[in-house]
Amino acid sequence: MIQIYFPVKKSFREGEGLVYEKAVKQKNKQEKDILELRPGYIYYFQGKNGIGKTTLLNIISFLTDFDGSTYINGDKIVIGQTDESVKKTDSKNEIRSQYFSYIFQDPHIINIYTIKENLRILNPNIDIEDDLGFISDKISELDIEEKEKDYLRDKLNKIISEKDNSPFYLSGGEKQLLSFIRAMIKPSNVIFADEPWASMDIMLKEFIEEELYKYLTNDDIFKQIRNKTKKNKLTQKNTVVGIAHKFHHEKEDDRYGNKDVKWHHKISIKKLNSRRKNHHLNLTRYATN
Amino acid sequence: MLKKAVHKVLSLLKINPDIFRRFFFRKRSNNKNDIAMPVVFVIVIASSTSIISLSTFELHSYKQRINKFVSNRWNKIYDLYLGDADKEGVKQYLDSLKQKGFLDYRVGFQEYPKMVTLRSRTKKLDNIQAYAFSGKFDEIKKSVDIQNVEEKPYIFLDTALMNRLNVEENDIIFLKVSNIGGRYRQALRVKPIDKPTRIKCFFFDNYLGFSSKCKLRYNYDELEEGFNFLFKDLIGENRIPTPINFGYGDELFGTIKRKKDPLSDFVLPVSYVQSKYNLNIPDSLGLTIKHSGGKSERYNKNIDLNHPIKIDYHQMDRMLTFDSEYTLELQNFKTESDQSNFFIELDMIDNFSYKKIRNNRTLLEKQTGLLDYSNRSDTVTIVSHTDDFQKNDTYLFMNYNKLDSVSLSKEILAKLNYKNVRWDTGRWTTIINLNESLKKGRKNVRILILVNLLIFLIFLNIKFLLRLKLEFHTIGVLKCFGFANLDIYKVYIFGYLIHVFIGLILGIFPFSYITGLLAGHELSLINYALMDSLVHPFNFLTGYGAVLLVSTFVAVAINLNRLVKKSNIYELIKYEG
Repeated sequence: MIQIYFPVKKSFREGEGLVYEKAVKQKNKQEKDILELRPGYIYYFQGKNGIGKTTLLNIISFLTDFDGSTYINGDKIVIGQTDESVKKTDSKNEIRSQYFSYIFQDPHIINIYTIKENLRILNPNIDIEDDLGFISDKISELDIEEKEKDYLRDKLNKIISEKDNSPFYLSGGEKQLLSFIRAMIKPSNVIFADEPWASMDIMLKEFIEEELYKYLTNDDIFKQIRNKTKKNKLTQKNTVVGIAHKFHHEKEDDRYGNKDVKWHHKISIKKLNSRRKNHHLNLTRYATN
Repeated sequence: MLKKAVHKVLSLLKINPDIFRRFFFRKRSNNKNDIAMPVVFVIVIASSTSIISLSTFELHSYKQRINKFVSNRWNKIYDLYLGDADKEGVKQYLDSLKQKGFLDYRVGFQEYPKMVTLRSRTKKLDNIQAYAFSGKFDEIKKSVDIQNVEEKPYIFLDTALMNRLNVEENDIIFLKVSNIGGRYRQALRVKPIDKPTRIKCFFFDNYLGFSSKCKLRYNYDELEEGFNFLFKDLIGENRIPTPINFGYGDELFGTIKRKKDPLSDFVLPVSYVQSKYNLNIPDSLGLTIKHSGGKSERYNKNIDLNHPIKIDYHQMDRMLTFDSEYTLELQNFKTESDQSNFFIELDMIDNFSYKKIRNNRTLLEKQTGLLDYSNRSDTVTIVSHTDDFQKNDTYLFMNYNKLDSVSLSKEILAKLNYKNVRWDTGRWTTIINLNESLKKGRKNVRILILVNLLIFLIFLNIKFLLRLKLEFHTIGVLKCFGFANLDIYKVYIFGYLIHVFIGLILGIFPFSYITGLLAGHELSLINYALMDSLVHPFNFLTGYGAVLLVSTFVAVAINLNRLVKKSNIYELIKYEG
């Protein structure tokens, strides 16, 4: 049996991952069965449409409230709430505020704010022109083709030039890029990414994948902006938990395959009151080393 | 500056300024700020505040009218005519109220009120109803606010009457009883009745009594001017009938009388003057004798007080006599030490009897001509001797001091509903109606506030239901990225309270002014009512403001609570669009 335990504030210390210590000791003696979302790893859920990937991600990331261990009760997974303090909304808010960041399938940019405000509410110290200009410069150092660099710089420059406007008229891909930047500049230790490259072209998709991968070790180009706030001390290693139907690299190269795919497991999820048969959900873990 | 201050306050409250700004001014797709929503909201509050203000203006109008009514002591004074009513019964009832301190009443004078004719220098008014009051009726004295009024020959006139008579305060007017022809009996000094009263003309003594006397004294600082007046104006030109008294200060030391022809000879008791006042009369008294033809003769005579000047001298010891065809100018005729004024005194009745001047028209012309002389003298004094009053208990003067008690006022109105009891029930009813209107107005304002509040709450809830649909996504994203519930509460509650506060301020100015002026209230009343609302913490307007703020706080908190505490944040985020 695999159990996923949710992180709570006091146990979320560097190196301990998203596993609640006490629960591990008391409730499960077989540590190998525990799904640990450890720093330095990217976890992607894969599976058919409608089987509950997003729901699971939302539960893990505290976006959907989950009452105890009976809400989702699969054959092989028990998702349990291990600490009473987690139930308190304030604690969850605090965890979301201090440790989590999100990229959604849809950009979910706030249209009634300007582009600048969309970023600034998450990182009050950001200077859009300077900081995104810096990112634009950093793009030159990326190991990608020049035309791709130009393309990325164009997109960033557009965001900078439109900073005082509503993001209403940005294209879907541009909004998604903005959503990605928003997630990256927010101080965090975990990024939940629900198909973050939806509606993105291949160049942006590659850029996001690469940066998320670098985020695990704080080597991404947004690190400096993230570091501007004193809200949270950056850890040495971060975690990415996401949903991905298919990675472009699976077709084109074996980038992650070379980086030691350490763990691959099938998880079955059965929704409560669902008459459907169990569905399988693939959990893939990519390691940073 | 303002921006810095706002940021300071927001920083103290730990409110994100971007979120706060966008609470007020949502960014529209065309990149303009949406100011319609806050403006409409503020206008609704301002309008509703102005409606409450309008009601308070009505209340203040009532209060002002009541205060004006009550502050006018005359409105507490009523002349009550008992006629052939059950006097004892009425008095018993009034006595019982008097014992409780609700009112006071005095017996009135039988012969008053009278219809009088008033005469100023330029105008005459017939048939003016004049009252005479006892100076012992303190309430009436307080109404006039002049000390010892009964000792001073004042006549109190309504300002309208003063205008019609073309007189000002302290001018002298003559009066007589209207239905009696001939001479004026009294000269009285005018005082205005500064507060509106039904009694337009009154005085404090029985000046029109049968044997009352009145003398006019023309006072002069300069002796020579006094004698000029005496001989040139009174005797020379106008030929005022004698006797004419003169003297210094309060001392009468001479009388000029006609000797043969009523308008010919005059007697001047110089020796008396000299002996009494130690006059500094020079050895030589200069006399200029003017003939009627205009020719003058100057005499310088050595004065022998026993036989001073021999001009048409008659054998009356220590007297000088002059022919009426001459006028006399005296020089240096004053005591060294005496600083008193020289006066010339005329009797209003003795001098102007019909017997002496048989032509009625001439009589009035001569008498009223005296009014013109008041301008030529330095001052004019009126010396009166009046008759006693005859009292009569059919006439009562009542002072009622419980005008604020509607029930008592109504009770008295009902109790005194006797046959042939007459009094000013119109004024009485006015104050009853005003008090009742005020009471009813207060009740109406309370209902209005409740109705207004109800409408406001419905509006607020509708606005919430509509707006929060728009806000679902924003709140969801904010919560997703870890903004605490308190952060969101603070923005929305503080933001709405600011809306309401601005609405209240705008409701006072300019909305209340506009509605007040449109409703026909005077600017001074609007100013007063609004200032009163700001100065006094407990009143309808501030009460309404407080109720609005509290209800806004509660309504926002309750509605927001349903949303912010929503467990499924992802659901909120998905509301986009």
